[in-house]
Amino acid sequence: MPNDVNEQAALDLDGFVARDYGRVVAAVGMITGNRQDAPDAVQDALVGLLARPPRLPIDNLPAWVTVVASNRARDRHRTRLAEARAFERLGAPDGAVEDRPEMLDTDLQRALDALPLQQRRVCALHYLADQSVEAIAQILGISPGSVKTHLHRARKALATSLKVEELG
Amino acid sequence: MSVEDDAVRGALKASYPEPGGAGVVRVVRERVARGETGIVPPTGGGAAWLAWIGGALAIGVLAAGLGAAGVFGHPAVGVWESGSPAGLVRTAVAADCPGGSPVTVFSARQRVLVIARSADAGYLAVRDPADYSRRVWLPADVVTIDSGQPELGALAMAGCPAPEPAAQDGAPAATTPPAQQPPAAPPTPSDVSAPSVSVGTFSPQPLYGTESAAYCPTTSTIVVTASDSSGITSVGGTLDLPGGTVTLQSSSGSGYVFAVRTPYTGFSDATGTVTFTVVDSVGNSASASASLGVRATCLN
Repeated sequence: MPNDVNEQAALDLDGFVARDYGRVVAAVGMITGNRQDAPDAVQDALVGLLARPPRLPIDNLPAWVTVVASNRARDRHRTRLAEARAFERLGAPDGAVEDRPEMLDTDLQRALDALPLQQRRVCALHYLADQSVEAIAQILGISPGSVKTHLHRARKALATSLKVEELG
Repeated sequence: MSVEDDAVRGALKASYPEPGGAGVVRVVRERVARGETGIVPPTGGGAAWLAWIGGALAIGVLAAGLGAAGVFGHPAVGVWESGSPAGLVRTAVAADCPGGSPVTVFSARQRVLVIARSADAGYLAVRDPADYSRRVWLPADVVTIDSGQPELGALAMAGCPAPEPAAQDGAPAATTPPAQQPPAAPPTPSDVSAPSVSVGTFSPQPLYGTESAAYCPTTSTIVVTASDSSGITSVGGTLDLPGGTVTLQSSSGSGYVFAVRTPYTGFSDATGTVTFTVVDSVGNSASASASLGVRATCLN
């Protein structure tokens, strides 16, 4: 049963899913390098938002969900790695941790993997979640200048992998 | 829009297609109705793995005990951290330790992840959004933990320099009241000592001019730390450049955070010197300096 009070206070769930869900999942997948877990992470963030609405209003819901969900997905991935190491130390049989991140075997993926996390985060928010430089600066708590710098460096690195050359 | 920009956007959109949202609303509402709170459940399969998990936990507890006893030396940083999402009620300076030296500034309403508390609950450790490998400390009264998230008592205790033992699972929530702060020392007429003052470094550097600053920072911030037995009454700074002198205004009523922003006129590529002067309540003063590189043109 929907919790109407929480939903009204926290977010318009139908509107968010219709407008923003797809691009937010895509952005989380890029940030974490794991498209497989991205939908679950976004849904976890939405459940948390509805079940426990924040006391302070959220100005930019798509950006907020992107950052929260990507952090959660990274935590989950780290937990799995820790579990895998524990199983390995204890002599668990192969395949104890079956859920491997889905990876793209392309030059672009390798270039993405080489990006520092903050550059990947800025890039995903800008290109996939369609966030402005100012909005990214606000949600990540850094200056717009830093966002531009991260964006510039990431774009250069990715363009090189794509073999793109500027004209003129 | 540049060719690079279009190409990168197109490639990323193609590599990360947007999934449809069919059924998502229903699933989310059902999970909320079931009482789920969005916390990620532990991974792992069926009962066959319980023995392995139990063994891992037993080893973990044993290792933690040995670690606490100093057998392994300084405890290692945890593999991952969880915490409580929160927001800042006002702009605040974050320190490297509870009550320690300022290291960065958080703005009002900025979102943070609270990961630990000090023993007296007067300070909260949050993950630095600019560097997730680092934790910084904020006064507890500027942080509001989101409704329904783990409250202060559920957070692990930590501090500086030696981390304190984390709360045990299942143990009652710690309810240690905030330690009583010692009363501030009254002004001492015989105070003849100069205040202590130290400055951090401007971040980011260098600072660029205006119109061409597409990818170059136009604001740089620095934190000044000052203290005195009789109290500080003023902190001011001036930036000396070849083109003239700029007077800096503190951007915060406390914490002495200064920001330099372009545009200002008449400077060329140079390294300027900023001198901060601190005055205490009886007129003693002290100064400290920091350098700031400026560039007239952004070449990026």
